[in-house]
Amino acid sequence: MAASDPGSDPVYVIDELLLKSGQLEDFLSALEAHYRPGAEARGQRLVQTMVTPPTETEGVAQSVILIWVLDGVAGFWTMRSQNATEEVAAWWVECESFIQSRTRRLAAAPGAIAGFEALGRLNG
Amino acid sequence: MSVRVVGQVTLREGETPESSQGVADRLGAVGLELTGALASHAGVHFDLSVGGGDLTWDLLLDGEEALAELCRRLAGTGPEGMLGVLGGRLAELASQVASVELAVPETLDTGLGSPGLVGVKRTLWLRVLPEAEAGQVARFEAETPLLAEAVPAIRNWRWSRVRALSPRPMALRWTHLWEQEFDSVDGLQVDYMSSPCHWGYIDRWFDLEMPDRVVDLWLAHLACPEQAPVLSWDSRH
Repeated sequence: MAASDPGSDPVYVIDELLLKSGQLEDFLSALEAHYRPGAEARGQRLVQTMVTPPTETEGVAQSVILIWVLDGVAGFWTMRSQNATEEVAAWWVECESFIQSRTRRLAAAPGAIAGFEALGRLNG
Repeated sequence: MSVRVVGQVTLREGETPESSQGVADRLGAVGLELTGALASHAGVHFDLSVGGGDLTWDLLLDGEEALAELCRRLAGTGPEGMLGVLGGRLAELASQVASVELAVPETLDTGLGSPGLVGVKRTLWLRVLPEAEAGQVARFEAETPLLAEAVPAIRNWRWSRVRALSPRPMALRWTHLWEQEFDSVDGLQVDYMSSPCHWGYIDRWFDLEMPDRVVDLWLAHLACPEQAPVLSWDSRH
């Protein structure tokens, strides 16, 4: 259900990181130590951590999916006004040692999208 | 065929809002003294602007020969000495102007939904990273006009690569210009910034944390009120 103020509907940041073999524990430790505290200070809260496929079978590459939430459009821009730092850049360089590749996408609940679109058409 | 030139003008320290407006008014007027100038406009940036100079100066020249003449006159000068070299009443502004950075936009795509609009002009100067992969840059160039589809408050727009004034009297750090005209600043500050096409899709080309990023973090986000329909000029000449 959409919030009464459509701009305040949650905005999700979805990271998917394809790990190098055997890097899951080290990656998660580094994430907690070097990235999550700063991200949460910028208003980007981690709400879900998942591993796919859910197996430790040798030879099967694992991906970590991280779902973060921001407080609406204002929360997005608050985060963006603070994330262009050397510290954040250093994290993503460090991250390269754990991963083969990654994606980051923005997302919202289906019911929130029309409200977000309307905000971009207020003066249209 | 007319040629556009777009500039960032940085004023000397100590200029007040009133004197800045005076420089903009005079620059807009005396820019017409340049050989082959068809139109000239300068606007003082709103406080929301970041990363660039104090004024945006737009020129429309009567073809490549007029541009070549301007380049000849500027040859060997840098942004700091430009107005002095141009002479005449432009040189009289040199005491108030610290530097002028000029670029020639080469339009990739444009939309003029409200030709003749005199509103608010926003110019985003950006630099695509030299190491960016060509396919990604092509995608970035193709996707940027989607913003004009998503944000109807963008009445007119031009999306361009930019080049320095040949034979390169000054280095140009920018590679692209994303220019828009709005009825008012609300179109920029509210609609443009709120559109999910902006923050949820296109912004990834600019975000340090995105693996897709191709744009340097130093942007010049500049907006000014207009006294002329700058983005419609060359449809009238």
